[in-house]
Amino acid sequence: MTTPSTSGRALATASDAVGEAPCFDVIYREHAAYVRRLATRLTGSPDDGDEITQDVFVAALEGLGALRDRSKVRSWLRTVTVRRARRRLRWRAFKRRFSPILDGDRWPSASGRDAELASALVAALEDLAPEERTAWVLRHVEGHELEVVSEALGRSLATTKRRLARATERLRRRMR
Amino acid sequence: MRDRMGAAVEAYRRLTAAVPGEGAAGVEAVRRRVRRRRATRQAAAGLATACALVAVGAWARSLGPTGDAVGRPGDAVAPDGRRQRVLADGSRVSWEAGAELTFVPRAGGTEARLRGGSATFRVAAQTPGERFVVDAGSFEVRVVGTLFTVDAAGRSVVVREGVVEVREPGREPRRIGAGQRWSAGRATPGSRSPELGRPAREPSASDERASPSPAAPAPAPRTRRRAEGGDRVAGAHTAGAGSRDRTPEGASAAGLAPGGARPAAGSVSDRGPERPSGGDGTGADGPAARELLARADAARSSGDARAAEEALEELLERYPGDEAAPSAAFTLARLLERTQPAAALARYEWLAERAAESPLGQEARQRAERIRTRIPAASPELRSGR
Repeated sequence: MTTPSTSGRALATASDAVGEAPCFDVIYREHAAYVRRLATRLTGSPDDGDEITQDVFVAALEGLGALRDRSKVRSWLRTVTVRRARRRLRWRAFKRRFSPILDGDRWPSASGRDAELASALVAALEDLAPEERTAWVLRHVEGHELEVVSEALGRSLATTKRRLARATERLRRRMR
Repeated sequence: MRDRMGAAVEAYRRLTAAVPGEGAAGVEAVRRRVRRRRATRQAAAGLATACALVAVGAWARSLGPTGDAVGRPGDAVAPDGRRQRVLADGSRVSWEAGAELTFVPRAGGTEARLRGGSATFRVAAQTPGERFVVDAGSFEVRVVGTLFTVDAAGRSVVVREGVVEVREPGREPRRIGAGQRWSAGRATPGSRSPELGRPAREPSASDERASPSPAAPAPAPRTRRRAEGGDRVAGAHTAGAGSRDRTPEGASAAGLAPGGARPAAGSVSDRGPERPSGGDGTGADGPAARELLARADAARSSGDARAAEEALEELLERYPGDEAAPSAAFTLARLLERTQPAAALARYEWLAERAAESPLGQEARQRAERIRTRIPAASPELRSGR
């Protein structure tokens, strides 16, 4: 389900220096929506998705210049997004220990059956460990291949499979 | 169940698929954040550098002043031109104008180099393994006790409180106790030292004894002249550490004449340079005994214990035979009792011996007994006033 990136074409016409203005603008236009969507799905929160997107592109502006293979911009952004999302989830889990009440409505504009189902799924995802949750969302919501998921998580394929199996089992129980 | 989860995933996808990008505004927001971040980093780096510089400066300052006999901002300047500085370890050093005093960093303590003039040191208790040393050129003073004056030009050391060790090339180290004066290479006048703050005391042959050994810093009760010359200690007046075994009035009781013998070269004496004095409270110079007593009373009333101690010490130094002397000694001992028990003990013992039958003498004897029980026998340093 990986969307074929146009970054290769875009980068070919842009400056070689990734950190410079024209090239960064291109990268942002090409990938910002993907990063924001991924971050939102991973965290289940549009607000967190926005903040993570900002963080990821700040890191990109400072760090993408060192990326040698321009065709891997999207996978680089994905890996950074997953890391930031996982960090954010850990932080939320930590905060929940002291304050179990979640802050505000996560889907203010949603309504109807979709919103109800999505909320139930997000509530079930909240019960997963951050790494299980990111693995499951990458695999079953984003539709990435197992290899892509394990690369984004920085885990072996076997570990990724175990995480996914455990996450699926727990979600099934929760959604029953 | 599987259908419900599948439907939930589809709904979640639909809800989150419509998340828009922000285009140029988003790019600009990222750039602003990066600029802020870089500015923050630069500020943090600047702050860290400044902190490091301050720390290094403080460390360098803690090593003490360096080669500035003329002083530096922050030095206290007395009316007579003497400068005073408090070192990092709490030691206080004062030196006369024109003194060439340098503090040199060294492992395991502090080293002061004095190449001209004189300086007085009130050395704070050193941490174990550290030592305060004064290098006066031709000789070196290792601090064992605390308050002393080193005269590099005159090659002499006067110890007011505690014990110091004097080392000369080719000679055995000598320990100089409270109330003693050491001089090297030439004779010194045989009278009191203004720095010592001791009651007047005239030197005589029976008033001198051999130099104290390093193992026995406290002088013997009655001193004897050393027949072969060399280092010697003149009969001491009790005043502080290390002098509690002396009989200060013994000299007067023995009818010692003014003037007296002058110590030979390389001598240790409890008398400093000659100074006129009247033992009856009417000194040839300086304030009278009553005036000193009034000054001490005023200082005590205002809470300035140090000034009171100095006035009382001056009274006892200048007018040991005055009728106010016992009272002054008792008051001084009371003042010293908490901070310098050994010195207080010496005062009480002096008073108990001098006025044995009087109520004041009896009170002094009782207080001396109490202090003796407080100072452990195994602590000669404390007994000697450290």
